[in-house]
Amino acid sequence: MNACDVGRERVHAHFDEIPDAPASESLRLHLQTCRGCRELFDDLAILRDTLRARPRPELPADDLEAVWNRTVRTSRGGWLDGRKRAAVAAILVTGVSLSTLWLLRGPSTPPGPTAAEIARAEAQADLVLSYAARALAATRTAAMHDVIGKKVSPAVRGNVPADKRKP
Amino acid sequence: MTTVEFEAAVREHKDRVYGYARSLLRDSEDARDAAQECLVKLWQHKDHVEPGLGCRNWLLRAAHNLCIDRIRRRTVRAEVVPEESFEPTDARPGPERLAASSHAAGLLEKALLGLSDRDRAIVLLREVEGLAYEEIASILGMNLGTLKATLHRARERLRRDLIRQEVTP
Repeated sequence: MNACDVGRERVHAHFDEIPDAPASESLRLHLQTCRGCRELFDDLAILRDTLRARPRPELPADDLEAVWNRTVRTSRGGWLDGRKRAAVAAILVTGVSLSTLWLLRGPSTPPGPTAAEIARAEAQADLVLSYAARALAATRTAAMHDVIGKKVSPAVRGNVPADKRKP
Repeated sequence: MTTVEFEAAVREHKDRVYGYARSLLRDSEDARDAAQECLVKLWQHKDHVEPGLGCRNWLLRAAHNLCIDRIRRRTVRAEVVPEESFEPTDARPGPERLAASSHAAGLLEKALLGLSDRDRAIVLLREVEGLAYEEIASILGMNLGTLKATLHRARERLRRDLIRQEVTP
């Protein structure tokens, strides 16, 4: 016997929403009076139970072993796992970047003088030195004149008698 | 998901994935390959998968997609899974009902094979795996209305097939 249209919807809705719950009061009353819907309800309950009772086949041990070999064991056997590799790579990249930055922006050593510049500097230094030598010579001459002219003390001249020298 | 969580997830869901693949593919060798591939895929994406129900749904979605790809690729073979491999093992109240269901179990498998791949997937995900409609809709990429209507039709089809074989009381 076929279920009525209204009853069919309600029976399906019952299994859709709360499949384990007892039929609601209104549905229960309907099932008492509609044989088609009652048969549908009972059949769907058996269908549900049979489907749920289906034993779940086990994945063969060989396949599980293959999964471990292709996943966890590969990682453990390797040098580092993925996360560690990523961390090491990040550190290396950071180090290289910082080094490059330092080389590009750090205090640079000025380039050395050329041979011509060195020669010119030596010539200038010799010139300055000659001026200084001349100045020293002039000073010496003036000092000699002072000593000769007795403008300075005998002590400065270095010819103080020994008995007159201060202790 | 850490490596430890991955190992726990594999132990918890491996049979679910294999069973689902076997029901869809109707070929145990193909299902073994698909299950392996699915679990390895989880390893490759473990950093983006949360343990728990999220992982279960991710695996079922991956298994479903892998199976559909395989079904599309291969020439469909008319292989029927042996009835005895699906003999129910649990005990439920009511010996008469148990007997009736036990008798029905093998024929139910044949009736399931009569459904389209999509309808069979819906029935399995809902009635066997106990997923919510929203979860099934997400896995299969369907809207809820279509999903419910399809499930109702699939149930009625299974019922008709079983009545035809006189296995329902």
